Amino acid sequence: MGYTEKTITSLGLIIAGILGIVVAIFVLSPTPTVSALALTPGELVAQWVFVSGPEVHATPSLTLNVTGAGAVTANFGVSGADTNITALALGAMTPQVSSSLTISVQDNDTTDDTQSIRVILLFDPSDADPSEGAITAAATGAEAVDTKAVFTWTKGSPFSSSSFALTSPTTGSWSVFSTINPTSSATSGDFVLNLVPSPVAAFAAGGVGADGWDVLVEVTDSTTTDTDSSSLRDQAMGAFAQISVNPATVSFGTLTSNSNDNPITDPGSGTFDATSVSNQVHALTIQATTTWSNGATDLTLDQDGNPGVNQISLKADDDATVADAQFVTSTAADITGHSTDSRDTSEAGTVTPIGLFLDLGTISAGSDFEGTFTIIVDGG
Amino acid sequence: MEVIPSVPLNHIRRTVFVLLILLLAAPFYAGLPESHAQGGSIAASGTFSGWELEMPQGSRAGGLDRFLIVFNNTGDSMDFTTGYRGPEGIAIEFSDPLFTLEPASQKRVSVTVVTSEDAVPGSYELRAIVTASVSGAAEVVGVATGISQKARVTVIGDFAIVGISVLSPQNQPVVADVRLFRDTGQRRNEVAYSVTGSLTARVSPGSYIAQVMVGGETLANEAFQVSADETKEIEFVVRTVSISDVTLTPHYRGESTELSFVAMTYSLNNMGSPAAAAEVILKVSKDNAPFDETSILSLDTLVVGTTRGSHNYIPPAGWESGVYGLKAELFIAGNPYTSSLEATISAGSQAMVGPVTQSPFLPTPRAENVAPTTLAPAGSSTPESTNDPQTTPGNTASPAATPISSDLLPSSAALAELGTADISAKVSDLGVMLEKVVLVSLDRRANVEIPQGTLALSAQGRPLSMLEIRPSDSPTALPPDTQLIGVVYAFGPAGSRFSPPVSVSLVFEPTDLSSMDGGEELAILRYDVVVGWTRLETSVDAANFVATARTAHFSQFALAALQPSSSSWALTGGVIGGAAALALLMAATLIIRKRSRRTRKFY
Repeated sequence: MGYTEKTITSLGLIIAGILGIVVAIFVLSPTPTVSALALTPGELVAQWVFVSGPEVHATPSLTLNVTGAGAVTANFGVSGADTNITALALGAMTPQVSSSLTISVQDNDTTDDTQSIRVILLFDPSDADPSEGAITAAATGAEAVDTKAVFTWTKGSPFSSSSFALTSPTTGSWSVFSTINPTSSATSGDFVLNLVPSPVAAFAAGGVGADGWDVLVEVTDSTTTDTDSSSLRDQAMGAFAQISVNPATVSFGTLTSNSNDNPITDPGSGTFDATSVSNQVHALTIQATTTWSNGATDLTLDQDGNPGVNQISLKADDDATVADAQFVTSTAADITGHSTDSRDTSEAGTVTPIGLFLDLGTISAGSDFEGTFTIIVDGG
Repeated sequence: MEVIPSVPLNHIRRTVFVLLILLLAAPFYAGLPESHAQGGSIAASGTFSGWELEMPQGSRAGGLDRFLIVFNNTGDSMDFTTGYRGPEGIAIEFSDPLFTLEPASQKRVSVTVVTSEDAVPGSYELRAIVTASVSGAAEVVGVATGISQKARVTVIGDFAIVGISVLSPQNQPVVADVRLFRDTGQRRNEVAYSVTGSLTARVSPGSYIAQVMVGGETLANEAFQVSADETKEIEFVVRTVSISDVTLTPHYRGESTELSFVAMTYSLNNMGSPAAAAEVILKVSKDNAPFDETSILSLDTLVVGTTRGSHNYIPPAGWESGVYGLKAELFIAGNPYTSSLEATISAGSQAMVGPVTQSPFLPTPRAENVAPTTLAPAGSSTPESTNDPQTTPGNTASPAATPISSDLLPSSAALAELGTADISAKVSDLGVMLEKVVLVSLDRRANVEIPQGTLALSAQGRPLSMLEIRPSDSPTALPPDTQLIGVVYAFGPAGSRFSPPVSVSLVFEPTDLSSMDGGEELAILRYDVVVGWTRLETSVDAANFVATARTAHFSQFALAALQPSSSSWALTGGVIGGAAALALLMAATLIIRKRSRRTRKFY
């Protein structure tokens, strides 16, 4: 006999046994004789054995129907066990880097009973500590990539396919890096959301009295919803800065010795664009190499605008106006008007056209002098 | 016979085992930083920015928990260079100081902050900087990019305060280069530098050398030691040439706020010997950038004594909105010798200040003494000799001498503020004044002048953030043998400390003196909770009805007429306490004068 035949035979025997036991219990059970109206809760408990799951803390619902003289039939149900958030833990958040949010859940109906989880991250300037209701309300308000994000875990089938997804904002680069689900058959376990904040997620030092991020988590099972944010207030968000320049090379063309205020000739606009993204108040700074060389001759950077023999001076301005351009030195200095630029609220960042001007001292003829400007986003 | 295939079963078991291992490892993998940065740029994220750490001298902090994540989102392979900017004695060690990132990749760089054994206690900004350039790029006029993040480091440990000032024999500040070196025995490490003639620095205890230079010439070198918690003040009194009493007085068109010209006055103080071929160049900056310069005085010989000059300045293309800075530079025989401090004035849409702006006072009853009523034509310059006995005739040829009342005026210009002043933006993290501040009481009868470079600390030793002068709400009664002139003023915050001492002036009216019989002496008194009212060494300008004294502390101040019997009061001179007397090695030509706990040296 093969495996299949043996298995079918065994299952048949088991089912027959179970049915026999059920019949025996039914036959041997006493018939209720009390009046339902006369029952006290104590008597009910004495008369009936409640059998439920591992946890019986819900109020039983009991329905008694009078079906005839002295005869009472009864049936009842026990509502499902509550779900509880037992702990929240969040790793250090910093934009564009995955951070782990661990949501520890306990449910005597097993974690498989979990139906959904909502995670709301809300920037909390000056530690105002909004109420959980206010956080919830903010989550449904206008989207703001720099100050809030909402992630939702949806139960999948099978359970292991369940995952978090970003539900707000719908644009930008907040993202879910990965989801880790607990064992579905266990009565407690950790849901882990590995989230990636937007580049413009507002910088926050965190802590009492300072800017921070508040995180609210709602877990809903088939019966209840548990909400918790108290353990995740005042979270820090690291700094982020991004810079690009376009074009990355410029030319002043061919110049004459002892000439001043020579603008960039390539690109023809006289400027290059510095595009910066920063999630905190920042400065835009500029510096230049002290030696400009063509291999045969070295020119040195005169930093106060009086270039002499084999010296040059450089000026920069954020609107390419030579009249209010500033001298560029070898030490990073704030570009005038950009010492305290606001944090960006859009991931597109801020484009600053920067004009450069070159003063030449007494310089022998030569070509292809080369050097470097550096544009730095100075955070904080 | 049926054969159960053993190989597939083993394969299933192996697969299950591998999956189990992967499942167990998943949480660890998922927590690793991952790049998601955007394209076309370099970027940095991480946990360094906003870090506030407190470290003892000679310690390390950071490591794995403090890091930068550096992204290369360009299409090129990029070379990254790390660096830092901060005070001496504090450094950053990066786990990878130099590295190359391929396109669309990132790197985590751990950051460790290190303080040296002689790092000076205090609170500092520290920047971690990452710059990038295209790997192997051909040399061009390139525009590179970088990111910097800022942390705050507080170094804890022993420290001392050294204050150095350079003065003329008339007690006027002299602009000079002052350098402070720590002498380790093997080498000199420069720890502080000033071009204003005044320097205040927090230093670690040890041996130091102070150096004073004017016009590239070293006038003094002084070795000394400081111990923990000591405040040492050293005054160098030099006989050289200096420029002082620079004032700017704006003049407007009619009743409008449109600036017409600025009258600049100054004094050349030659305390040495006659100097040939002296020229004063007015250098003008606008919004901190060089703007204009012009010769405003040329002398065949700069005589010994004080030569005063004036110049009415108008920009070549007229006034534009912005902040103008005017500074006089003295050239002798064609070589730069010294300069004045820069005085500033705003032009444009912002509120214009009145003609008394540059005065330490806003003495409305006597404003005419400050704003000249007779002025030379705009653009003209005039030298004027004073009645200084050392002045010799010859430099007073100007037919259009400008009447000047400069004794009341500060040595450099500053906008005066009334009643209270928020100076938080004008004080460094160490408590050093970044610019001069003049505060005048609302009744315009009391003022304090705090020069740039002054160490200004609260009673708790923190940098001052505000100043206040007001009539005292609960004035302490003066001693019986004194007569109060005016009211008692409360200079606050109470207990504020200054190094070097700052000038406090109180105005009086001629009628205030009417009840005096002539035997009394005017003096400014300062209240001390321990010793009561203390008489300060006071200079009285009887012509302008102003009394001035120097103080190292804020408290209650009062101008009083002292009976002759009260002359036994101690003269304090206004010194921050704690300095020990110095045993100075002096050259034969030096004169040492020790006053209280301050060291004063003449050159």
